Amino acid sequence: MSTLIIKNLHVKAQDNMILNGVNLKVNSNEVHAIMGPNGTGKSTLASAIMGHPAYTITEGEVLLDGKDVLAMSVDERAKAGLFLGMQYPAEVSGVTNSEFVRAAIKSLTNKQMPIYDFILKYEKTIEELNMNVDLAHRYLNEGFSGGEKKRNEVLQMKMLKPKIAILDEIDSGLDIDALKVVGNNINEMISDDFGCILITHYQRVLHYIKPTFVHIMIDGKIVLTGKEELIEKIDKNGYQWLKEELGIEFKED
Amino acid sequence: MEVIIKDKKLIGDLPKGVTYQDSHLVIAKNQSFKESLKISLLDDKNEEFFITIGESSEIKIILSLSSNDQLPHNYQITLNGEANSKVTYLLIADLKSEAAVINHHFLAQRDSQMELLGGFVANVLKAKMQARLLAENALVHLRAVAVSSFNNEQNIDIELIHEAPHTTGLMHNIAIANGNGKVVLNGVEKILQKMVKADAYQSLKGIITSDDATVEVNPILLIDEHDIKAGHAATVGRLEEVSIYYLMSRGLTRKEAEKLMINGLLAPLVNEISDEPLKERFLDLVNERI
Repeated sequence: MSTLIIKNLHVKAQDNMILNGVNLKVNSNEVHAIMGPNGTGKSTLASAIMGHPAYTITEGEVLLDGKDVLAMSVDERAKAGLFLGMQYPAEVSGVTNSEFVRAAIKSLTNKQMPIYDFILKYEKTIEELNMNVDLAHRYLNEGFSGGEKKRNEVLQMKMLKPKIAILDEIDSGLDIDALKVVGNNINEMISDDFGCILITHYQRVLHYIKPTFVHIMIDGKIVLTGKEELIEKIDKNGYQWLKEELGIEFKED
Repeated sequence: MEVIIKDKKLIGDLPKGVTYQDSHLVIAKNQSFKESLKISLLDDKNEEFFITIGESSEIKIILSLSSNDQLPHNYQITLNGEANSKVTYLLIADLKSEAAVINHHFLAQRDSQMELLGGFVANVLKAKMQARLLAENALVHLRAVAVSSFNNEQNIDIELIHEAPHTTGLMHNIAIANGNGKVVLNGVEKILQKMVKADAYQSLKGIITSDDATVEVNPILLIDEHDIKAGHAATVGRLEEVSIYYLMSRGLTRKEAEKLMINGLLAPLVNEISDEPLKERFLDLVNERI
């Protein structure tokens, strides 16, 4: 069992405050969907937790199983058990997907996985994600379609087995078949050893991955937390009803 | 196929069709070798070495210069590709010398093809790889990698001269500096007057991995003819921070991420080394310095 606690997190990028006090507690076996209009700070939350250098934490805490995540370097956060499925994964020329994942496993576990075991596991996982086996020899995300990149993020997550994952718009750019495959693969991981934060714009992905909690984020804060009923409400009415219900003002991009 | 040359003497057996005498290696006409010929020049501080590839012969040569002493070294190497010959030549220079000079002169005759690769992982080095395209339809593709680390300084000149019409000269060079290392990489391509339909392309890439490292790349095209095709690209910079962050987010340390990316950049060159132990040695030498 693992727990990620985010307490009163304030984050700025350059001189703009983006997160204004986010509180969230994520346990293993839970899926937390974070929804909200564009530009409201959802991706910033994901990046700040992972340690993206463009963001500065001005206040607050992030703890994974009681350990201070904010004091760790990016790789130490991964070693502690965090994973970020990125909205825009980088393309790295000359480094193949398989050599990267093998290197990452070595860094995370401190030992080299025997090549034969690795190949078997990697190929099996590629198959589970309905991807082409030649992926192993292609350069990391280079020339990948948007959907391929997202599936490759899930592939890496399955290989690296984090405790808590943050999946930033993992559903964008996926067609319906790919969405099912990705949804099923994420669902299968949910267990006493794994929980996740799912950041999304669309309710569609939540047909495949049932969230334990749904949070709505506005202007860098979680303003409402509920369960599945919130998804339907957003689907029907967008976010405008929040203004009346909560008596808050915000602009949608 | 592996031989050692020490004090100008040959140790080992050359394959049929190859002879060595007075610092001159000759590949006879119409020979073709599947395996690479590996030659190690051992501890020869002043070495002149000539290689001739006979007409219509095809061979892959790997020349390894390796020495742990810090004295001045001077190598002058000439490779002549006769008409219609085809050669892949790989140099690996791993010299601890504090003042090394390695000059190469490649002469490409009619219809000859040369794939030339230079791997420079020396301490203090001045090196020149000059290829002259002497007759029609000669093709030279030159690739060089220079890696400098702490207190290393490398000055590398890569030069291609089109001295005949209808010749093709390509160069792709990478300079990497780490620590307080320094690399100056000059890529020069000359197309002389009347050398019509010459095709020239050069790319130079400089990468620094620390604040104290210096890389200077100078792409120079000197063209005296109109009816030609020429292009060039040059970049200098750090490894992309967004890529380092991505790799680190999967658990790699910054150092491991940088190494993986640099090895990735070198992949097109390193993958040309068919000799596995040599490939590993070259990668080890590079990785020791980054």
